[in-house]
Amino acid sequence: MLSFIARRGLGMVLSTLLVVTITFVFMQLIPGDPASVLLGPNATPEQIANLKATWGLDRPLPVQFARYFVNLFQGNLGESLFHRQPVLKMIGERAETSVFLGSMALLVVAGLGIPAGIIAAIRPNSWLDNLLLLVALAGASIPSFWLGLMLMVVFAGKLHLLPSSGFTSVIATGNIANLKSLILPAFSLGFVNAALVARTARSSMLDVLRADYITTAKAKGLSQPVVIVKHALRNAAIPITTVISFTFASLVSGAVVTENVFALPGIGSLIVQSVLKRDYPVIQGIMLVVAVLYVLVNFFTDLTYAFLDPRIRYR
Amino acid sequence: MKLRNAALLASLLLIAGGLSAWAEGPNYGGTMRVALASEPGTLDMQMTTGVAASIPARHMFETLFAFDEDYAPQPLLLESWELSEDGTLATLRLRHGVRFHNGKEMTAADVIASLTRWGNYGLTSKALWVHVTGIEALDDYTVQIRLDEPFGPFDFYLANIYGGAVIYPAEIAEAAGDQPLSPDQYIGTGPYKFVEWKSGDYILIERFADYASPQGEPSGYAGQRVAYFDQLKFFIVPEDNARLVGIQAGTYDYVVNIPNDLYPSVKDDPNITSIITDHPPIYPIALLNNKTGLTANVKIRQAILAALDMEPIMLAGYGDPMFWSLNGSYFAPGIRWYTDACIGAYDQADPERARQLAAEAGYNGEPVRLIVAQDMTAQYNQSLVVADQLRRAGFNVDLQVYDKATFFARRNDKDNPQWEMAFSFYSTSPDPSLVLMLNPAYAGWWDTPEIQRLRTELNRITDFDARYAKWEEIMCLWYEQVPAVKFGDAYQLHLMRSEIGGGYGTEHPPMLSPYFWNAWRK
Repeated sequence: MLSFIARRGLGMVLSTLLVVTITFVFMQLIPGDPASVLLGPNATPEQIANLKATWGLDRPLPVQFARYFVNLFQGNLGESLFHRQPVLKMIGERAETSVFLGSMALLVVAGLGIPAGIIAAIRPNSWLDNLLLLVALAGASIPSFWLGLMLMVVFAGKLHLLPSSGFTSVIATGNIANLKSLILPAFSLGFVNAALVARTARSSMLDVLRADYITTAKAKGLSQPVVIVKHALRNAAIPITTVISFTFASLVSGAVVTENVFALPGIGSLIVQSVLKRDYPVIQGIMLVVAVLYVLVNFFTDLTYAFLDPRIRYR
Repeated sequence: MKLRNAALLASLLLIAGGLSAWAEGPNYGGTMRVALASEPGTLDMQMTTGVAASIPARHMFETLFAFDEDYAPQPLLLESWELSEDGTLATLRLRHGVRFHNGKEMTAADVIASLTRWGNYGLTSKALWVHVTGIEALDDYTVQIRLDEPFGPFDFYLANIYGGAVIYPAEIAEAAGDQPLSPDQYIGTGPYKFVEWKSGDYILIERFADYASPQGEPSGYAGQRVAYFDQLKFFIVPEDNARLVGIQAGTYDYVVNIPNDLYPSVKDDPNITSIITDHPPIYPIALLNNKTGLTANVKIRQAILAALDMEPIMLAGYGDPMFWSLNGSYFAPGIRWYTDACIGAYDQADPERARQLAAEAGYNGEPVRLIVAQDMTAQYNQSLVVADQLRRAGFNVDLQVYDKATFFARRNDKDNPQWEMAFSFYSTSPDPSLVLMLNPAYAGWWDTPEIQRLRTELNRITDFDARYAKWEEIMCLWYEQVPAVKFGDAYQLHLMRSEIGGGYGTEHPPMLSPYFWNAWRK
């Protein structure tokens, strides 16, 4: 187990460094530069060149890259060119929104997807199964930004039940009611993935429910809830866990769109704004954080397999 | 008895009317919530021409002059000023008791340091600053600026806030140099002071208790400024529908730049006031590359102009005709610089003439590269129609679509311009000398001997009538040399909650950019 963790740890570091390097190179390849964006369309070439020199962007690429890596290993992700704030501080400020949004969306994914999948599997080919499959198909087909806009128009614009956009910190204000602002975005973000989880849960449960040990459990006279929850669900959980871990990636990428639609101050909207402005240190910082998160989630998913299925052992 | 009841009723009505008027009158307190469509890069107005930056920054920073509702410069931080008879010596007398947000009183040293930084690094200073031969303090409240020759739009340049000469404390202006100010350096003299900028979320400013307002009837950006709101909070809301639903739901009090096609959903809403900026409008324009390649040939530029039918182009960009009008003159009717001189070549819609002119120019199917930013929706839509019309006139069109940052980088690449036509739009300049296309360093690079001469003469003259005649000559040269193609006048749609009283939006016509001093919540 320890050697597995060590090998995976090394792999995680290498993957992260690869992401950082690729991001650095690609950011330099795309046209446009932060100085022209900051100074606006009317700046002269001399003014742009002066500002680039002040930021060190006139130096050769390998020099900039080496300097970035030296700073990185000292725990310094640099400073935003636009906001003159440390990148880590900016990411930290935005993390609250993204963590709450991601968690609430994950609740929607698991809370809607797994029960829907189970219910559909218990009554295969019934009208309920067909209805749930139809909803799941629709859910997987609807772009989350469109769903978000529709929810916003109905629940904020027409019914005035929920805020239309923005988010005020729960931590800073101590007001848990601020989470209301995240209900619509979390639903629009989670619904698409819930559909995917529902379909996986259904097919996985169907496979398990046809197994001999389920027939035996039923023959022993166990009640249906016990058979479903204790015997079937645990065995069907591995594919569901895999899909939910994959949805993490789509929640991160989906949040980029959802946070922009709902004007949420999260990491997703920060990366969009930073790419549009070519704020290189912020883009690199976010990519690093997302890469680390992603490899960590994958790592913990692997560990969860062992918990769910004792036959799985890592060497 | 009936008479007594009637008198009682009348008294009650009078009291109710009075209370209602009192409730609607100027009230102090509260937060004005404004939704911006994009996040500014910086609020240092000397170093940016961004409109998004100017909206919060206008409340924090002040210039020596400010434009009144007729776009005439009026003293703002000045008590008075005068220009010597030969037009080469300006004496500026500062108002006493104007304090910066750090408590320090503004003096001549601050003005000199700020103007010097602006002159050296400011984005719109060059045309004026090349003529400045000296700037000195006669005393703490008097600054003299010496010019090598008269500069007609002197006060216009010092009133313009976009890339303009806002006044900072001397120590901040000197420390910043060519670097944009950092948020801890956002110290001005305006009615609101900087509190916090939460990137991607909001910019928060609050009432400056020691603000020293100029006196006089409010007019445009000039005159008395009263900060009724405790705070102004500028949210960053890039999604158009989120801004629209936000104001409908009461999340925001004011939202900028709502797409015109969403107007039907708000026009009958009693809670929302629509502000249509029809005077002055914005000007959608395609710049032509006057410097290199195909369009360096004037006949090709004339051919492009001849090919274009402006009505479908404006329709594609701005939808319902209530949001645009056809106008070939650079300035819109009603602006004092408007002239119909020589605009006959506008809106020819004559592909045959275009073919003929292109043939005369020796055009042989070389690609005409049109560049546009997809996130500038109106410009992108217009480029599709222009591309189609040019193809019908026989041009081999290569339409290249980019994001804004790439678009501006390509458009401004003076050393190696890889385009013939670039789509953009411009606000009404208060003075022709501030029209960007006249600047030889500006994208398009119109710098023929004829425009060089007219530009210099325009800046030298101080008399309005003489300057107007010179501007007419420039308009005629514009349609002869076709440095750019103007499509028409377009109006923007901003929305404000009806609970907001006073200030911007209640005047007509509204100024270019909103301001929220003199405004209150009813």
